Amino acid sequence: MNRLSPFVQKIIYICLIVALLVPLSFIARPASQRGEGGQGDTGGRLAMLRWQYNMSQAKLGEIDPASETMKLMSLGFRSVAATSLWLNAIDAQVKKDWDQVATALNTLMRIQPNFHKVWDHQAHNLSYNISVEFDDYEQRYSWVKKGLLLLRKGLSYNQRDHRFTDTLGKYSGQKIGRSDEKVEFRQLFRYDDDYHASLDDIFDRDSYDAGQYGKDNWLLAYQWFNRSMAMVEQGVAGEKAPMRTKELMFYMNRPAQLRNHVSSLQREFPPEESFKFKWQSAHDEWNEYGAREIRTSSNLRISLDGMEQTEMSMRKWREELDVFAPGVRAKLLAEIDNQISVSPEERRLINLDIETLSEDEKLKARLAMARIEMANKTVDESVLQAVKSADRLVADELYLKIKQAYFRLHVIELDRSTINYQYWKDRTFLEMSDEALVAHQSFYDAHDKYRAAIYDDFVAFDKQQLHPMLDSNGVARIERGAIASFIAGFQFWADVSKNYPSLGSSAFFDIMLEDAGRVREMVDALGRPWPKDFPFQAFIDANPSVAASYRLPNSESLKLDAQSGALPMRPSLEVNVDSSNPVDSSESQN
Amino acid sequence: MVVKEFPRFLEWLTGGDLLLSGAIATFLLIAVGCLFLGTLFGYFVAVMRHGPFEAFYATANTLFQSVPDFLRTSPRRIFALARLAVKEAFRRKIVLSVLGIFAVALLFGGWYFDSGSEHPERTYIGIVTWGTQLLVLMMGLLISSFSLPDDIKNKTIYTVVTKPVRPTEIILGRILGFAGLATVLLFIMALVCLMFVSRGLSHGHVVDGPSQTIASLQKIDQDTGVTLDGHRIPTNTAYLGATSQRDNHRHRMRVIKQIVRKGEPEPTNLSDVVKVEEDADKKTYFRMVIDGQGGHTHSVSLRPATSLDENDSEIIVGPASGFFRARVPLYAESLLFTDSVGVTKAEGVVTGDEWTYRGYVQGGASLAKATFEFAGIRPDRFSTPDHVEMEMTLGVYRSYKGDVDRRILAEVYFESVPDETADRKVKFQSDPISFETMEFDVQGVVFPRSMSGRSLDENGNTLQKGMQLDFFDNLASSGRVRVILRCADRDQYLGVSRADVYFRAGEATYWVNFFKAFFGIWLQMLIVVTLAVSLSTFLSMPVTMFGTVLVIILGFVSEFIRELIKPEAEGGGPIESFVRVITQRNMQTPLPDGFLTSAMEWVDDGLLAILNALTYIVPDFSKLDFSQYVKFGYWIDGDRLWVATFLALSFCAGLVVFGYFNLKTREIAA
Repeated sequence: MNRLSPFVQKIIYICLIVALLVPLSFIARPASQRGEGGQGDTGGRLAMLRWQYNMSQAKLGEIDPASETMKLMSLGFRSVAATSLWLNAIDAQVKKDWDQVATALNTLMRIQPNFHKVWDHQAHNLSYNISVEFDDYEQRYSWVKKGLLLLRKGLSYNQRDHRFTDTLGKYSGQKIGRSDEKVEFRQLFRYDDDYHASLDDIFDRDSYDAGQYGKDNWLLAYQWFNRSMAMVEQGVAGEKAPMRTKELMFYMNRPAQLRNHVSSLQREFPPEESFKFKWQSAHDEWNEYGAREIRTSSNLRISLDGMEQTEMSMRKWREELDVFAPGVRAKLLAEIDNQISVSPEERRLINLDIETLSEDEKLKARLAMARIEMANKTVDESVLQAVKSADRLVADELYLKIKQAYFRLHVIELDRSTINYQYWKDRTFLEMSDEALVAHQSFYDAHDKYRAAIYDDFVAFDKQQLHPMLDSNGVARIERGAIASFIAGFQFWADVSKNYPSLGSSAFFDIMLEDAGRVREMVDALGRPWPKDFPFQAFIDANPSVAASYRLPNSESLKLDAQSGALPMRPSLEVNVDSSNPVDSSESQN
Repeated sequence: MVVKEFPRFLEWLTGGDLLLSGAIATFLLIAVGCLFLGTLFGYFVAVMRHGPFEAFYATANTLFQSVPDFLRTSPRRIFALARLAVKEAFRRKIVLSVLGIFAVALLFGGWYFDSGSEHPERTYIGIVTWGTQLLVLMMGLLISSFSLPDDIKNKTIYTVVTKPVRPTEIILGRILGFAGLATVLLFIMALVCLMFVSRGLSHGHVVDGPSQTIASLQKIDQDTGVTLDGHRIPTNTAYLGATSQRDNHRHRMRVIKQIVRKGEPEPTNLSDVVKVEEDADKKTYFRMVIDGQGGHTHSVSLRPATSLDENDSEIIVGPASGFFRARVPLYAESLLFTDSVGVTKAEGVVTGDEWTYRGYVQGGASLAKATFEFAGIRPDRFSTPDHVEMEMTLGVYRSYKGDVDRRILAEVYFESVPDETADRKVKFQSDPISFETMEFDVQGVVFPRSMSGRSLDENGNTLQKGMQLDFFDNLASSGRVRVILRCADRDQYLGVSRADVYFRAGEATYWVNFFKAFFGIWLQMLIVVTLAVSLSTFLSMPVTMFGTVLVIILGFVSEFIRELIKPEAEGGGPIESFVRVITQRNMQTPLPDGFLTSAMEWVDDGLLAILNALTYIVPDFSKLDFSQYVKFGYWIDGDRLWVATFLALSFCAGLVVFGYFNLKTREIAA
């Protein structure tokens, strides 16, 4: 039986509690904020574990009293409270009570501040799902910003998690720059000083200012992705953030924003010289990305531009392997050639430029190439089998290297196609040229004239002097209408696509078909036949489904029309489709 | 705001034409039923104690004694016992603890508010009413659950029952005491909350710019309707600027042109006039206005007010206004939809929205419309009968992208409802007025009392065009008027419910409305106290608390439970749901056939049936919750309050009787 008095018992309990608090305070001691030089107390064991696993705020300066109080008040029922708030937010969203959604999320974030998926899901909900519920684009923009601000708050709780900066970059770029209301959104963003002020503690405003074009959402996206890269490469407060996504995508994000930036400007403003330099920057950064060594999902370190080097190495190793079994490869290849029975027609197709082929021909060529490739892979093994046992050790090594190179090539090819690497490399390169600028000017003029319903070529008229404007030869100056301007623009891209096949299979050309649809609309309105030798005719023929949606005629139907005696275009309105004589840029800009 | 019920108290009480469907009839039916079942139950209990014959006499005796007990209940003794209950509650320090928690919650409450909210008043009011409700119900539960069981346990009850006190007085005294104490506390809380909300929302702005004059505003030369920075502005804007940022928002400041032609009345208030330009046939007043942001705006004036020099007058931005509103709406009696082929239906087009609160009207179709029919439209019901104010909260559904630069267009017009007894049924119809919708916002339209229109015969043929119609004398002459709403954009849709279009009869006093919302909490508290006292007559303290908490939870989530019980609800009952959680099966995956599954479903059916029955036994607390009216700035009408009061008092009356018999039989047993 306990003989101690209740008072003494209480004293003992208090002493025990204090005794236990000492080691507890030691292991749970929060870290003090580190300065630039990474100085500061690392905190106790618990704080270090929290920091390591990004589980909660482990440093004194980061602790949000509201969040911590709420977590404590939930008394271990945090998950129940979180579930209830999720349901509350979902219910409010269904009932379109947006203030309630925002309030529920605000509380939710305070009790689950270190759970990335919560931020990610709800920010997407605000920026993408709720914003489109509004009919007014200004309100839509305001909800897109709410999602961005939510993520920004999430970043303050999770400073070493690059997924937050990645998503901020993604939403800043794509949601503002690619929505149906992109023109309105970008304009609102340009002058949204309050939002820019909210970023002042992170970015210098000039870092995403495009000069005369104002603040640009794509450049801001670039800055966010740049921050992600800095987080991983340089670290935060002296510690590197762990990489949480595929390196291929992670490193692609930043360079992609520059081309998006200039693409948007090209749509919104008259093309000008500075765009070439912007494309140059986009191209340089894309090349830098291509040269960067990245770890693939199969844990292989590759560079996207490393195909040629890998192929060279493979050739070298094959030659070295062939030294141990002279003549075997040539013999086997000849045999295989017979076995896989590639017909002369297939050989002809393989040797032709694939973009010049019809869909059927492309398929035949691809199947034949795949058969040859499969056969070639077996040759190396057969050559190895033919090597004498004395040389086998070295030959095995060479064979292994060839096999690895094969695999590496396959992985590089796969990654390149995943991100459309070659297309963007070619496109950014081409866009740097004067000719591309002229083509864009043609498209820009074409759109202007299309909106003004000036479809046909016209005689330039001096409104002051009240007579036609004359050229240097004293002849009335003819200016292009929308149809001719579109065709001049198409001509450039049709020409370059012959040398750059990657362009032909791009969404960029699909978008151009939309413009071809406008040409169709205009020639119909003028009661004219489809222009002869239309520059994009081959592309129209190759994409029958997209072309059909714009009612674009394919070559077959044009032939039939010609046979049935369709009328040619009126001579006075015939447009120039001669690629050797592109539009004079100075004239167009006037 | 979501309003699904539009009760008329007397109609609800008496059932209107169908007497048996009224609340009184239902109440009497339940009372008789409960009395019968209670007597039967009491008899069976007595049988087990005393045998069938003696049980009969005991039951009859108890029943007969109850009549004088109820009739001779003394108010004086009730008050004396109530005083005791108050003293006891104070001794327990529960009241002080609740006040302490309340004070701490208010002190740090600001941390948890979403400062970026577009309608902070809704957040503030929502949180303070929810917090107060929680605290008051908790306090009511604690003070009333402890009382009787402790008295019985400590045998202090004998000092009371040995006195000439009836069981009814013991129960009513405690209920009165505890409820009275909670009422005082609730009143204090309401006052503090009102001050907290007023103080929390109070804020001011200054002009954003180098000076507090019009020089800080930008002149708008083109009336394109869109500013350089991409914002839409009304085309009568002459200058544009903004206020400083405060509480995560800023307002747009505009100088608008108001043209007054010769012969038209001149404006009387010139405090916001920046300058006046006078032509031969008109005067243009340049007025300074501040656009609303979320639920509020600010008044604006110029100092000196009489100055016509646009650069010298100092712009004074006034305090926030519009947060505290109590709009008095006159809701429609009915809403009918007409589809694109002219068929009239009770439901509108379904656009695929998960929430079916609103029905949709197809745009561009000449016959498609929503018709709201109003009754009791008389000039004396409007605070400003020289014009008619209508407000709308419309939904919009775009079936295709359309023109993103503007909102969906709608049309509204009035149509008279001819008196059925009149010989010649001539109808009047006003000319339609087009407007851009403002989705998710309260959109006000002010109609002059006199408006142009036409008259129509019984078949809808126009009799006379270009008539000048008086709203009250022509359009609403019978006291009934139809408001017809159409969507003007082809194949876009306009969503409406009955509460979405209403006449604004005037503005009531905000703080009265605020206290009305707290009256709803008071009714809830009264039920909790009565329930806890009644249960504590035969249950121990923990069981009483558990039972009362269960009833409170059921009262708040009864609608949710009924949703779960619906046959189309996926995932099964409680046991099946548990099994699905632990076996990680989603709600759609069928469970394996077999005895266990069948048994589980059978048990679940039983449990769901019990749950379903419980939701109808416990009071629906959501009917006593008026916070959303204050949150959204609508007047809580008397009918709604009377219905809630009758519901709460009926439930309490039943509980008092229940408690009385428990205490009475317990006394007999003792």
